[in-house]
Amino acid sequence: MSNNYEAVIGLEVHAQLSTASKMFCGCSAEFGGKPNTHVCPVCLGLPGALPVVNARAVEFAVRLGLATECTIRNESVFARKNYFYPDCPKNYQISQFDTPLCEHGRLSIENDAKQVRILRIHLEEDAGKLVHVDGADHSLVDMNRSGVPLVEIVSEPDIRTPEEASEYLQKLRSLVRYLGICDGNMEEGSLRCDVNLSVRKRGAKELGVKAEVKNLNSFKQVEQAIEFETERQTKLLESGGRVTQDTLLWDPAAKRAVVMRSKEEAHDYRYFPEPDLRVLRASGELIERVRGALPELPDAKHKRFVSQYGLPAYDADVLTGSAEVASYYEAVVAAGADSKAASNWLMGEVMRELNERKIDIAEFSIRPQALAELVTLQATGKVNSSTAKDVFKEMLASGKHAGAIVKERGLEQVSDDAAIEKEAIAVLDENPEEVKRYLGGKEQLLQFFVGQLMKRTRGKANPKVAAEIVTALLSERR
Amino acid sequence: MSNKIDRDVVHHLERLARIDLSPDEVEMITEQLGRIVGFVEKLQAANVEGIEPTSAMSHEATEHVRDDVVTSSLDRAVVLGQAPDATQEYFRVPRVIGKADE
Amino acid sequence: MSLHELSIFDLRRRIAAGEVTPLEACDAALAQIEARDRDVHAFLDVHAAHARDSARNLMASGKGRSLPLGGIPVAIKDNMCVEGTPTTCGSRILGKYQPPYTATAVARLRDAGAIVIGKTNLDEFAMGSSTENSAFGPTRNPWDLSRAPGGSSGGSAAAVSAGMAAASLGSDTGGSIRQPAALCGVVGMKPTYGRVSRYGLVAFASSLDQIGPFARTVEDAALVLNVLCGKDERDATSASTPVPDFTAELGKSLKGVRIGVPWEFLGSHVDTSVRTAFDRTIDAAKKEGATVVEVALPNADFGLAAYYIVANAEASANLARFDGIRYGHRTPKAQALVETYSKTREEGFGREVKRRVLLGTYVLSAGYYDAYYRRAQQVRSLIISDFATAFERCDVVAMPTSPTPAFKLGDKTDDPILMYLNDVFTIPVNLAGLPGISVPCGLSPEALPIGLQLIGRAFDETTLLRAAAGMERVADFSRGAVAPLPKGARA
Repeated sequence: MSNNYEAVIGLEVHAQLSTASKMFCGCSAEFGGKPNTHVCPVCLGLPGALPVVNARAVEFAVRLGLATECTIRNESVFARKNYFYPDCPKNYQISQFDTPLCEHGRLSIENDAKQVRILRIHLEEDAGKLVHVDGADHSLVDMNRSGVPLVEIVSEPDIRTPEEASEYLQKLRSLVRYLGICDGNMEEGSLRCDVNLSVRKRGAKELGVKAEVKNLNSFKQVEQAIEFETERQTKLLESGGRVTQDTLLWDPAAKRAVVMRSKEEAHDYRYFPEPDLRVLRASGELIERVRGALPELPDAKHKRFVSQYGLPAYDADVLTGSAEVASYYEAVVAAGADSKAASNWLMGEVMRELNERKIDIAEFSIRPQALAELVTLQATGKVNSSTAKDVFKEMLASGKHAGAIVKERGLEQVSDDAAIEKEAIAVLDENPEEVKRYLGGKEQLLQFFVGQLMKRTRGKANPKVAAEIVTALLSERR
Repeated sequence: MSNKIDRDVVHHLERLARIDLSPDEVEMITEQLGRIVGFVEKLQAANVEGIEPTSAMSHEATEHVRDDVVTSSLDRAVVLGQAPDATQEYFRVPRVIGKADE
Repeated sequence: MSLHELSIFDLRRRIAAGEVTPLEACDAALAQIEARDRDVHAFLDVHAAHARDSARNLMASGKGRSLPLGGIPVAIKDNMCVEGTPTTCGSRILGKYQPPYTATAVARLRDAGAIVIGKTNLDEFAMGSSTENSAFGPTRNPWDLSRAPGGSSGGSAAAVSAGMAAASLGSDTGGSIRQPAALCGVVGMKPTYGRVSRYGLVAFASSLDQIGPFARTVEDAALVLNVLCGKDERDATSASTPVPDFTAELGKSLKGVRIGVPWEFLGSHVDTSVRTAFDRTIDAAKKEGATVVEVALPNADFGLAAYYIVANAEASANLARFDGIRYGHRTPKAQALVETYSKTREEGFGREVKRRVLLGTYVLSAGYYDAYYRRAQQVRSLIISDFATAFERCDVVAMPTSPTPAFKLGDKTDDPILMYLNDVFTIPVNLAGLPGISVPCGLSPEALPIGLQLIGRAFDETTLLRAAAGMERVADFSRGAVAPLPKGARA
């Protein structure tokens, strides 16, 4: 890619709000559901039906606005966006145009090194779903999704690279999940992203003509689309051509974007204020209430985990990935576990278990205090790490506490040097050939001796001490 | 002033409004729309300097919103029952090219 | 007096006293429909069997005597949804569509014991002033079958006028209740915007539409209004302002009522016969003690233009849903999607509807929004403030309802603008969202009814109805009269 040109990128993200009911009617907003079973006169656009605003959707949008440092409008207006399409039952969408609910916020990326400004966040309703039937002359329409609440988050064109775009999206996704307003699932479509991209010569102040790329279903596809489109536009300009304001559709299989609609055919949406709805009021009181109830946000939590718990950035990243995991972690530490040890356990054994069982931390059967007990037993040397893992498994299976299990099965780690030495001597005596080969240079046999020693002590020997003792004994036999 | 409306304008409006007029209708509507637009031009004489537009008619300053509660939906048979073309589960429409608006 | 000629008030008295049953009242209405509707064509669909069933059920429930509208036969304009029955909106595009739900206003009437006897004719999608735009043929004025009943609620007005129902519901966006009421010699009222739920009213212009009653007396209209009004959770534009008993001040005299007349606005618009009847009634009101003051509505002249921009803009969006995909007519002639839309709408919509949808699309389209739509909404603000100023000096504003009495069918259909001028006095009221009522105040030399319009402050229907009852008292018109059999009618 030419280095003379830089890409200037803005992202438009749609997030489906996880309310129980739809934006303008009481139908269930739940994902899935048999086709056309969550539909009523309002979201079907039957004649005479009227929209009524879902107060919780407004609250969710305000939450997001505050979390991204936006200004919240006390009064904003819904507007009709007029276009014909089979997934759009009224052939207009109720959205916001002139007066979005939230404006002029930002999201920081690269460890706060860069701010991506958020131009606006507004509320609107989702369309139904079109199901394309291969080879058929018809398409099918499912209206379950019609009317589900969406927020549209439009960034300023502050992004310059695919990586920045990806990080911005990750941050946004993490944020909406933290706020409990959206499950952020790009594959299921609860988070969608369109890319607006233009290129210009490096150092130039003016923006080039931008194109829009739609139909991106993963962060990876966003990055690929940005790379593709940057190259396409750059090549075009370098060969003396001009970029036209097109809308392109991303083809994930072919990894290319194809022009879908040119500017000439661009829509005239004929926006006008929605006469069926009153002015949307977000009172100062509502805003303060939502602000007061905001959880600690991911960035702030990350910083705090690093400073308060002395964790490396990587650990803080993983642990603050979800508000629930972070909260669990803090409870483990609060119950007395060492912060780094607790982190290792959470990132390791616990996450592995959650992934295998495909459960959330909320469904994890070991409570923080119980985990803390285990973590401390290992950290203080009472059990070695492989024993600890066994105890962990049994805790899951039986629900018993770590201390009880260790006691019952007599698993306390043997750290007594004399006891270990006795067993070590026995091991060396029983394996003279291996001793000879070790002394002849095969130093990796140390593992074999330690392994045998662990067998004899039924895993209870402190492996570190065992290794030391065996090594010392072996060198005496030279 | 009513010359603003010519056949091209009417064709453009047909596209936007998805109405396919017959050639006779295009002729007649072009003329009539022209006169109507000429008629509403008198609005240009109104003194609206500094006047806020009225976009909604509610006399009350309060809001009207609903709680986030799920209520019952229509039976699918009712939803699809009057569709000119439908399967047991879906509305059926002529094939749509591409993904978003036309 | 036959049953079908009785006012609601009188009919209710008899039903409550057990002298008349709801079934008898229902049968009387149905008989009158038999007798006159072949000529008048007020009804698109008569629900005879269903109505009789409802009447019987009401009697069996024992509530017929006590419910406020128990046993009263009512007709509903066919742009309001009644579950399980056809709702055509006077258009072909809805095909055989039957709504799966009932409009709130209709449900309220039923809950109050009213018996719905059928759906009435209208200008297609309520767009018109003569009911000649119906896809199913016009309704004829019961006073003179060669003339229009007015519109768009011509069917509902004619039904009440001809004694086929004791009351009916209409919808009023620019005068569509008041103007046909005037032309048909009945009382027609449009309440304050937001008083009556629009849920289930097929929208024409959302910021202007209101449902309201036709009846033969002001008192009857107030009785129906009492039942219709109230906040509806399903309609975000419906008002929370409490609903009083609208009959409370009907008996009060006109003494002390200040009537404002915008003489300048009436200007040259008005037919001599209308002006004569209007002036006579105003004088008679003065004799009963009303004070008449001059008021100015300086921006009312812009009302028509502002209305035709705003109403049609909203309508162009409201009617976009009619596309042949989910219900109604679909063209048999198309293969591709865009064709399906545009041929369906071409085949399904009548000429006036197409005109208005295209005009509405135009005034919202890129480059024109500010010059037309925004400007029209600014003019609307001016009109609102004109009325506010007027109401500092008066309690009600009075004007003729319509510039002319009923015109001959076919007279105005060639020139849309000529037709639009019918609404010059009614339109400003919708733009301001105020309550308005038309009361018969006299007959023209051709024995055609003339209506007088009163306009009230927002939510002050009580004062408005008081003044209207006063006008009714002093008017040169037989209170509660059913239109006599006109020339040319089948006896």
